[in-house]
Amino acid sequence: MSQSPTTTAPTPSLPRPRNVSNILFIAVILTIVGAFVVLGPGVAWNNGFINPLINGLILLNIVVFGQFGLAIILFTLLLRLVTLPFTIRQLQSTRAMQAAQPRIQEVQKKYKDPKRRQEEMLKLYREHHINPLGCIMPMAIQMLVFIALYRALANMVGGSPESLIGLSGRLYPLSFLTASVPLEQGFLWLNLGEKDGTYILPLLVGLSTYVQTKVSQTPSMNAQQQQQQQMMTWMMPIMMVWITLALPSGVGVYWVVSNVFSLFASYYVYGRKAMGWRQLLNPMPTPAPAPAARRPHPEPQANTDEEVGEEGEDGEPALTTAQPQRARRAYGRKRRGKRKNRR
Amino acid sequence: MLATLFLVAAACVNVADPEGWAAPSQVDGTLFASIDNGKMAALDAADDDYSTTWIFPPEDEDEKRRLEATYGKLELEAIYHAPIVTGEFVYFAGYDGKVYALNAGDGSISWTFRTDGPIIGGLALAGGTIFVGSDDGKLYALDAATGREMLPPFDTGDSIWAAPLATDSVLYVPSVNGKLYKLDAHTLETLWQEPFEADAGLLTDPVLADEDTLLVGGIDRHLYALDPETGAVKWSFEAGSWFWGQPLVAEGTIYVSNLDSHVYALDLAGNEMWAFETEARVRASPLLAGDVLIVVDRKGNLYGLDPTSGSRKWGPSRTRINKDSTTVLANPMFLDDVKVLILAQGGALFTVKSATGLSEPVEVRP
Repeated sequence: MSQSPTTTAPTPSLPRPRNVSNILFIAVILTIVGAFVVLGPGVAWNNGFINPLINGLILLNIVVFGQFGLAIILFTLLLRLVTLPFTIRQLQSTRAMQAAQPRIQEVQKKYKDPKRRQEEMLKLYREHHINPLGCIMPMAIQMLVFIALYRALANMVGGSPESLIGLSGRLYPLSFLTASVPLEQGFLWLNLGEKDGTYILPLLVGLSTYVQTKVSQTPSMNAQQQQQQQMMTWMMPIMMVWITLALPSGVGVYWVVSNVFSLFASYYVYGRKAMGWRQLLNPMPTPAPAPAARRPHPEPQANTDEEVGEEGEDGEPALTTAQPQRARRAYGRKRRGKRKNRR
Repeated sequence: MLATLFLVAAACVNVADPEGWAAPSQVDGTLFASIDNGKMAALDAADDDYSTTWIFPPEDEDEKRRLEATYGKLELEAIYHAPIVTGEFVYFAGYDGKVYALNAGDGSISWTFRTDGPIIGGLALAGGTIFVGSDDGKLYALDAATGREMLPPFDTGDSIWAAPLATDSVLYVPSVNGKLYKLDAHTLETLWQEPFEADAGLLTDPVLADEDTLLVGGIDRHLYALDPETGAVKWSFEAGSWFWGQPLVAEGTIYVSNLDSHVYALDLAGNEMWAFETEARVRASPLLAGDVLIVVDRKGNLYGLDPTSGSRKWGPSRTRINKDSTTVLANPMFLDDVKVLILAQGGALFTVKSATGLSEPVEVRP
């Protein structure tokens, strides 16, 4: 299948931020690995993550007048704002990857030589402006923060005097920090250092994870993908509920706020249609329209031909795109006309 | 993949549940020790037998249920302070917020008293009254014989995590808001116009170094020497981290442990005489056994020091109780002229020869 020269030409403005994000990601990874090698895992982890996090949280706790629950919320919002470019890139990358699935499958079928196949795949990624590393950065940050926050909370509001002994070695020797200890553990109905015995927080975590997972899913191309997505839609919330049941409530607060933030990010990238109640309440993943044309759209945010034109059950396009609605309808009419002609 | 990583992460880290660090007490050949989290046991210490006389709460479920029908749930979770033993009763407090008075002979409940928060500091007994501070911020005065509340509680405004110091007529009550109150033991009225206030929470049990010097320390890394009459600061000594172990005063010297992994010796004017660095942080108070100062750090390393110079006589000799935990936070207890007793987290006991540092696990018989 030949490629149109216009479609293979890179958009001048886009590769640069992608490269920058890749370079940034690699730099962060190298820094982390270097610190772990030079300082040793324990020292690097504690001095590089846990201790700054603990002292930063205590500082935020002072800012919000000693309400540690609010400090966790504020911390989550700040962190998500800082990593917002990565999150948006991840969402865009995911969507573009889904849109490119027909062509990826085609390439995999067509080229048996692994080297050639890889070349074609890379070419495909370039055409669709897919950054394979785009998903890893936000996920890695989330993971690091999740574990570090858990460790930090275990020290800060661990619910026992023993945990405070650990905290004593982690606080920076600044009087305004030490004066805040021990921290207020109560927040709303929760004890931030203990599990939520009312099960309200785990349920909120489960619900927000479900909605977030559902919204961030893009229509799948084949039955296998649909099955995987369906499993993820249910498994992730159940797992998160189960994990939250075993963790200090402060981690659950972080998770709920983080999920709500992700919903807004998804709204920004996917648009209002993806947030519809019908979409959220449908436990089955949305099937993608059948591939009709395979040429990628030159604009990365505008996605490929497969994403536009086909209508969902309610008469609306199954996927929202950055293209103006009128243009998409016109494009759909054009494609339907072409198919009619072919028949 | 993300979910799997979360699961691994959740499985790899633990929340520190309360375990307690109550030092044992020994009276007339009976050792009272928290040999399991949230449980108090009486052991026959005569002839190094250490057979169990009783355990509270009882291990027999029927017996426990019967007691719970009368006294409410008996889940102490943890005990953080050495029990007070009088001839007839043994008094202690649990992380469940209750004060327990048991018959020392058979472990039967004499009375219980419930506060509105966990009890982390300990009890003080003076003039037939039990004084106890709770995480609910209040100091309670209870009749030692009946457990009846004798006075309305005194509210410090913040959690109390240290045992009050009680003399015949006066109480000194530290709080985690950094304030130290002097109260009339008979009325619980404040005796200082303004409480002494440190920059951060006070954690050590206050102690009188002499008639004119009251010692207390905590999170702001200072050990304060106060005038007991006025509450004015006479001097303060700054270390690298928090003070949590009660200072030991012997022969004109103050020995105090700090969470900066040091034990300090100070004269009564607050001048540092020597400092000894340990491998890990030290919460437990040092103990003077003859001419050896026994120090045990959090990792269970034992040191025997010369109390005058701080030089090491022996150690660190690692405890031999590796089966569960070697973490030691409880104060060591003077057992006899030859040995001291150490209680590790989880309840394992071991004896240490004060002259050589040789340690032996104590086998507790059922």
